[in-house]
Amino acid sequence: MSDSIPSAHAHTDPSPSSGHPHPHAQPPTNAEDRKAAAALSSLHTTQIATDSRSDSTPKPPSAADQEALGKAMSRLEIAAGQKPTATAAATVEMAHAQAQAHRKGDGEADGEGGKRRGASGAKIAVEDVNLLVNELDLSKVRATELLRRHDGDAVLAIRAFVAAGWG
Amino acid sequence: MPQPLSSKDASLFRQVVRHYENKQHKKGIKTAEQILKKNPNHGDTLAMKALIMSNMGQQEEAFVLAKEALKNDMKSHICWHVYGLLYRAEKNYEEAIKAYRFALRIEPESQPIQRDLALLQMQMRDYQGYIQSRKTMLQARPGFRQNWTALAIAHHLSGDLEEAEKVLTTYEETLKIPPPTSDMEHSEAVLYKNMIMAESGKVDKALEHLEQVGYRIADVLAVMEMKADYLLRLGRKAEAEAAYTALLDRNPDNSLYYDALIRAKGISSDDHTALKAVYDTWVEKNPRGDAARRIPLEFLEGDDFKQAADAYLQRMLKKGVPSLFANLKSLYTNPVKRDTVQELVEGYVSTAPQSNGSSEGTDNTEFLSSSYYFLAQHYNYRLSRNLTKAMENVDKAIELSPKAVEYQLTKARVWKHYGNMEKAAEEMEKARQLDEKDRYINSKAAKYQLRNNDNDKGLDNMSKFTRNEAVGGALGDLHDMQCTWYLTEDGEAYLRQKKLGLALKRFHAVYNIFDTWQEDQFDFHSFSLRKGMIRAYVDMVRWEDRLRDHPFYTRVAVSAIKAYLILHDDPDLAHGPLPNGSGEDDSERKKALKKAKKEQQRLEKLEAEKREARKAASTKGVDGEVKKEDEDPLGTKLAQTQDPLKDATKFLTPLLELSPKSIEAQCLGFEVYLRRGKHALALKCLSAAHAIDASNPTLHVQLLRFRKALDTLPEPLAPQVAEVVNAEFETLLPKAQNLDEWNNTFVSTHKDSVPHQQAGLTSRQLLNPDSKPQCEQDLASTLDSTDITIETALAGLELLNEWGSSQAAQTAYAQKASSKWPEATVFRLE
Repeated sequence: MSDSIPSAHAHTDPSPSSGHPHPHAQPPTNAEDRKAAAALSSLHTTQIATDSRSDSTPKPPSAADQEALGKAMSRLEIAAGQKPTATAAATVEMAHAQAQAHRKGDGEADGEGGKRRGASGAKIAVEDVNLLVNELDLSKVRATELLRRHDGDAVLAIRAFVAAGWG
Repeated sequence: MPQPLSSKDASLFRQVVRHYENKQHKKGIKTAEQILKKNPNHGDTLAMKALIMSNMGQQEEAFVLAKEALKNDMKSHICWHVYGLLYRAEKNYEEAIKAYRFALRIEPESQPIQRDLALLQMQMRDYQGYIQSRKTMLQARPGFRQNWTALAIAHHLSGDLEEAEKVLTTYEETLKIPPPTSDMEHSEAVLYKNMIMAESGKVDKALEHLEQVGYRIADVLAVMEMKADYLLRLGRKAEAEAAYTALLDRNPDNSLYYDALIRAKGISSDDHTALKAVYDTWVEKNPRGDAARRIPLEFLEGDDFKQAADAYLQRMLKKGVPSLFANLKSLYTNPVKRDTVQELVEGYVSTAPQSNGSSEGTDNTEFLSSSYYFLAQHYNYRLSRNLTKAMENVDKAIELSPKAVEYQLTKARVWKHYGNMEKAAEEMEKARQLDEKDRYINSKAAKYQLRNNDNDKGLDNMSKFTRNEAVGGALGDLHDMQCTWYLTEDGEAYLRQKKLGLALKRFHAVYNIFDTWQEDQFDFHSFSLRKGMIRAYVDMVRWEDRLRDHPFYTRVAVSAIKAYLILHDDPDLAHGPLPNGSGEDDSERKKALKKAKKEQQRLEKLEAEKREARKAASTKGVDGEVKKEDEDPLGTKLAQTQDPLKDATKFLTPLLELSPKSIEAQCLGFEVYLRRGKHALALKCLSAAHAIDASNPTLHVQLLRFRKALDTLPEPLAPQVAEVVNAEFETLLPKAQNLDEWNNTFVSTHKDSVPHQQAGLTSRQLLNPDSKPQCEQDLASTLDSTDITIETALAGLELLNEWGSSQAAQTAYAQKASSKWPEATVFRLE
């Protein structure tokens, strides 16, 4: 675990340059490995030996590569139905965080309404969640899920849980 | 928003970060304090200071400081990141993930925070979150192959094989020139993709792909194995045959290759002649190999078997291969083969000329002593046991070669099966002394001493091979080396002596070792990607998911739960063992308890003195790193738990989830849940046990106990629970059922099995307490059964204790058992 923390803080440095991600923070392999690999590959095939890759710095994708990668990325994004900007990804991340928070609230079944609607529109009662937590040793989240799958019916939920195998 | 600092302080802050990275903790703290003197509320600095303190082991202070930092600067991603890192150091991953998310919300572009989050998501198996994180990371840096591979892994493990393959292909298509064959990352990624294709069932596509790219891949063996497997699965038999022949040429001792080769050749499993012919060709090719000689013994029958077994046995006995019996005993499930082997080897020793008169004496001695050794193991084995003969043979073998460690070892084993642990430990110690440099026999001797409940001697033996200057001495080193077998045996020995504190101490130690193994994978989420070893990584992740179905975990969990159940039923045992039978008289019990408490205090004092002495002797740790002294070396705190059943559940949950097919686990689950008043869960265990083996004796008694528990509830169950429990239990033991009849049917159906008889008697005296004296007598008569083993008889003795039978009844039973097994120590009365 010690390897991730130090490098983490190279970037949390709030010096003026901190806005830009460091370009060489995560080389795929270290410089020595790359050198060794380049040397090895020159033994195998002569055509690559003269390539710029024998340079010891992490591979800066060539213009052609860059173009191909760009295309590949856009293809991937279309497939995933996503906007091709980094900020878009961040918003997704945010949305995910919110969803998480939302789910948490769900699990705790906040006091105001006391009842929440399941996927099928059935009501899930706080008392039922607490009953399942208590009787079946479940977490609130799992108890809520279990109830939701059985339209909020505690008897059905307990029966299904008892009948299903462990694990 | 970071609070502004003067330019001088800003540069100081950068120094703090640098000191932290270089692990110059003291300097870092000093510099941070310098900044704080002028800016006492600077959040980022406070956070960095907290992080450094946490790395110095001051977890609690670090948390206080980090919270203060956050209070001062809620909008700083540094503060949130540090908060997450502190939680991560505490292994509270859920909170850590939340903190990272906050940090990311403030600073969405931050690579390190994003990466830390991703690693945690992987560790927590939050695949959807991990996919998101990996997508973001890929978008930030599409130039790095590992970002693509990582996204593919995320999809693969989340079950979306199609998407995983697509991601890998998309990256491959960007490569203008094929990477050199020395590029391991590429080679592994290609094979990984192939593996995904096969996993998604597209075997023909996978084969096609492999044929296109296979020749450039570094892991030649994997390519050969995958190809052979695909060919066989596609029914391309001739090619599969060639592929497996090629594999056997590389390694003629891999039995899986033989199985596959025979399937490829389409030989029916009944065609023994043809099968034997295949193996014979490989014997010819590799005269020194074993597999091709050994495997035919599995399928051959009658005279063919006898002939092959004869050749095999003679060859191995002449060589004096010590593992011969271990290699053959799996055949003994077939009684005919078992008897044939016995007949053959008995024949060798009776017809062989005695060594002293013969001219080639030396050769013959080896053959003869190996044969005696084989017979000793044969008669010692469960399926062919005759301990008198075993002892005779082992003595003959020892006479011929008195220095052979394994012969002496077998003698100890025979004593173990006689039920005489004392003698067994003694004999094993003799074996150890034959070769004091041999670690195997050293461990064996220690184990036998533990079986004899002699924990100190066991540790003393172990200490001959441990690093005794480690913190905590030999025992500390055994913990550091994660020596699970020793910790388990040590704990079980304490459990037998009812020293529950120490027993629980060891069981928790093993539990923690499993935790460590789970934790250990963390580093590999980044390391394996960096090294490009993806297939091994995916294997590891899958193995980690099922880590606790390991037999070592099962065993330790079972013992720990038993210890907690004993503790729950008799909380006084937390103070140490109480003499047997002291339960009858109240004042006597009080006296015994007082004595036990005194003994406990004495031991604690002794331990504290030892600790002081150690501290005085070594002012500084050997390797500079100060290790925390154990606060509770005797496990007293563990034993004095407020809620033993809750602690038991910690061991129980993984056991039930990962070994649901173990009936022992289900029965223990019932015991825990019934005592906790969780009737639905208790019923769940009963149903599961019923599905595994409906006629299990323990289950039989538990069904009855559950019925009785439902009839005599102190307070009614919640209506929903009652509805389910009553309805479901009806299928296992109907309410209208006459219980006496039900029990009698059970007893008469299984009248030849002692455990079932024991269960029937337990049920009878539960149903009808007046029948207890009769049940006690009947239990004693089960000792007359020819099938009863020492273990079952011992279980009977424990039953009497459970029933609360009088001392006299227990003594009578033990005496009867003792006369049946005069050698056994377990029935001896103190």
